[in-house]
Amino acid sequence: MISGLMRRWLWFWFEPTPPARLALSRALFYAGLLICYSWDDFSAWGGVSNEFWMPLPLFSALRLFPLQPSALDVLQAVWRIALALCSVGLFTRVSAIVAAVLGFYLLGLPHNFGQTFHVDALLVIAMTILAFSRAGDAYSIDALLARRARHHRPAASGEYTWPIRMIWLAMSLVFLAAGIAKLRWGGLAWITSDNMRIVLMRAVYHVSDADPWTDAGLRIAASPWLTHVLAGSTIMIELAFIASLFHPVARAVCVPAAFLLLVGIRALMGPRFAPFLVANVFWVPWDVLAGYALRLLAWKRRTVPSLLESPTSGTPLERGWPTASISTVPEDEHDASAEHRNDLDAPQKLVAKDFQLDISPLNRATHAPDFERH
Amino acid sequence: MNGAPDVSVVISTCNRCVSLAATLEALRRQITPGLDFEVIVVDNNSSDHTPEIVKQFQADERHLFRYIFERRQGVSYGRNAGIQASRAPIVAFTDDDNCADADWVARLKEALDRHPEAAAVGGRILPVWPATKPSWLDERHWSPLAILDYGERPFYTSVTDPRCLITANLAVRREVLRAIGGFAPDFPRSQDHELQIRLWRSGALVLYAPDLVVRAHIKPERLTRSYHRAWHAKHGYFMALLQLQEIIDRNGNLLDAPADGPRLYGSPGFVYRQLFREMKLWLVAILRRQPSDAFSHGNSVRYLVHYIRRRAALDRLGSAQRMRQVLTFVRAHFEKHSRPFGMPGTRLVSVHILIAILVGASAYDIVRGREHWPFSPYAMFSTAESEPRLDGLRLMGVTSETPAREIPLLEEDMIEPFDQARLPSALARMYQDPERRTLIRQALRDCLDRYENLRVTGHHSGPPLRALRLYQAHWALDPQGRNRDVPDAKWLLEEVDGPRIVPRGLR
Repeated sequence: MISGLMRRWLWFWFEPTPPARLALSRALFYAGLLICYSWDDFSAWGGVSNEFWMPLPLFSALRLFPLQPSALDVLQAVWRIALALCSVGLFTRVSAIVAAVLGFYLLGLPHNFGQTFHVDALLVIAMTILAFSRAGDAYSIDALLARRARHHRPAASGEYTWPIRMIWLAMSLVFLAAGIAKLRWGGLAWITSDNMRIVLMRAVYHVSDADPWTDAGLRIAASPWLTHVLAGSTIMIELAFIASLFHPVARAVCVPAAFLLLVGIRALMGPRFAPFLVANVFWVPWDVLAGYALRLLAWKRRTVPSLLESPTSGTPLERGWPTASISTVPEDEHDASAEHRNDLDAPQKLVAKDFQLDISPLNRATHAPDFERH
Repeated sequence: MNGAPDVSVVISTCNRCVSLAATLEALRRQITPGLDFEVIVVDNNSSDHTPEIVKQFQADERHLFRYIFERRQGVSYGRNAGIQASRAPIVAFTDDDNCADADWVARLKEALDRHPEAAAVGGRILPVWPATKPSWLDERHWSPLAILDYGERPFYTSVTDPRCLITANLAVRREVLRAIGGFAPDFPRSQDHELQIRLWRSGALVLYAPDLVVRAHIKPERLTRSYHRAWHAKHGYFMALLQLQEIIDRNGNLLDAPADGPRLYGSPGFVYRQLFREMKLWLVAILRRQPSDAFSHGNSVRYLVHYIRRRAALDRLGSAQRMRQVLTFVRAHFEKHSRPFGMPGTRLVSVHILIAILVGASAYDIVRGREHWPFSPYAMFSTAESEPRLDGLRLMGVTSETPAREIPLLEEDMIEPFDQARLPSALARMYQDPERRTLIRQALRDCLDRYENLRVTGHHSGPPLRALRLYQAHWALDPQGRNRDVPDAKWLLEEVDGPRIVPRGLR
């Protein structure tokens, strides 16, 4: 049992996977952060009077303090550059470390002035995790340069799995903590009482960092059963979210549900969760989606070219398109492209390129008769 | 009896004169045609009637019963004294609570004569039960009773099959004992196992002869679970001295020495794995209501726990060395497991440290309800609200125009870098803290200066302010939120006036 559990545990964290998923997530995550924080000016915190300075335990322990606005201007510029470099994957490891360290300081700084928000805590954790990871091994300029120098692609490894899993865990713990806190401090009354109705009504009284998008919360508050459903769903999603770690079906249900929950909170209650939502990129199997996209692209390239090309622009084979395919081209244009498909070299090139058949002299004798019959 | 006997039977005894009498009686009744044997009773500091009992048997003229006194306490000392005193080329051992079958001496002599390649011969020890035998006591629980039965077929024990024979029924060639040096006094228990390990390592074969039988009278006090539990605990303790778990390889062969490799508190990783496996089986047996299995696995757990404890006690290291040992052990453990994942073990360790930090810090905050950004209990909106009202602080600006009017400071560009929630929260926290309350005027002054500064530099288009007021405000929540900008009641807490225009960023 112990060894079985151990095996499962290690497999969960270190299942060898190709670098694509982590790399694409990395690119999107840092790009998302860059977009989210492009308009935020952290330097203004350097100008707030000392009376407001109420440092967080970690800032206090590390003896961190707000720098002068000019210094913060420089830091945030460096941070944004680091985010951009992480996104494109140039000097990825160093950039990720810089992004994590400066991210911790800059994103944490506003919370030292009397009120702690949590919208960016997960991002700091995610950046720290990525700083330890090898997220730049694919879909990055670093990877391109390395491949040119060493002529090989990185093999599947657990190195590309654990950062994603750990960010999943961090996110799950956030939701779990929120669910537990509600049951612990509010109990079942959090669902069954007028609590949600009151919370929705209060939200329009400028109590959050931003006002709700809409007053729909007030209309929902008018319906007691709807507020109970809303409260129950909230706790259910928060507590069930951790199942996303272990089961793909739970992942397919809970992650979108939590995403919608946060969007719903933003819309009805005000708190801004946009940066938090960026961390959802790690739940998406980008490599699988990219595979689908490439296949779709390949399919389109097979079917659409005759639509797009003019008869004088060269044969499809010259443009790298296979010719023996089902065509959706209208009848009149079909005839025009048909001339190009009569190229005698076309079938062999198609077979060799598209179906990866071995056409070496030894094997040719076995393949040739079939090919000719077709 | 003039010359040297053929067999010397050594019995070490201590305060068991009653059972000793039965043992000696069984030896007196031995049928040994043409054989001479002597019985050496080693009195290991007995305070009962042992000498008198032996004296009774010394009257027998057929066999020689000798009495030796050994002051040093311990069965190894006793048996070694017996070996020292023995004169026969074969030294046989039995215990003071066992009775040999009538042909025991004859058979062991015959076995060693027929098998000159065998250095020793041992046989079965069969139980003589008292009136009742507990139902849980099956063959798996025989070891604590010193019962041994490996079946009807003879075989050799050796480095490739190191099954231990018990000294209650063992005969060894005297020359072999001389060569390997008797019983180890360091082992008040399991000394027979230790002796046989030396025998096997010297290349000797030990014959298991099933027709060589002694019978053990099982005492009622040995039929209790508590006796068995204690026996396994002690057995683990002494086996740790032998490092038994480490000198038998996975194919059951005896190794010359424990394999080198990382250890944790003196024991290699597989001992801990065995412990976990036994714990699992114990738990499963309990859940399946299989008491005999549960007892057996429970005893194995006890054995392994005491084994590990003893190894840890023997493994004396300084704290720095200990830390290095732990790190080496952990790294080696992860190195082994990291191979299938295409990662070095050190990476596995560092990732696990990260996981531990993440889970530990989150769990701490969840359990304690404390905030350690970036970790948090995420307790916002967690209390169940019951009153449809809102109490809070509200910052209002007093315009310079005449007549002056109050405007709520909610727009972010007016109170930059704060927002409408952060600023009242910060002010409320200052206001609630008696030590910081004195600072609130200065903080409001800062807000007013900042507002005017931002207005003058064109950051917002709000009206010029001549004062700033901090109110405690109260709202009765309106289902349509119509009173969201105008509190139902408010109390002035602080007011500052006369803004200073200062360059942006000046603190």
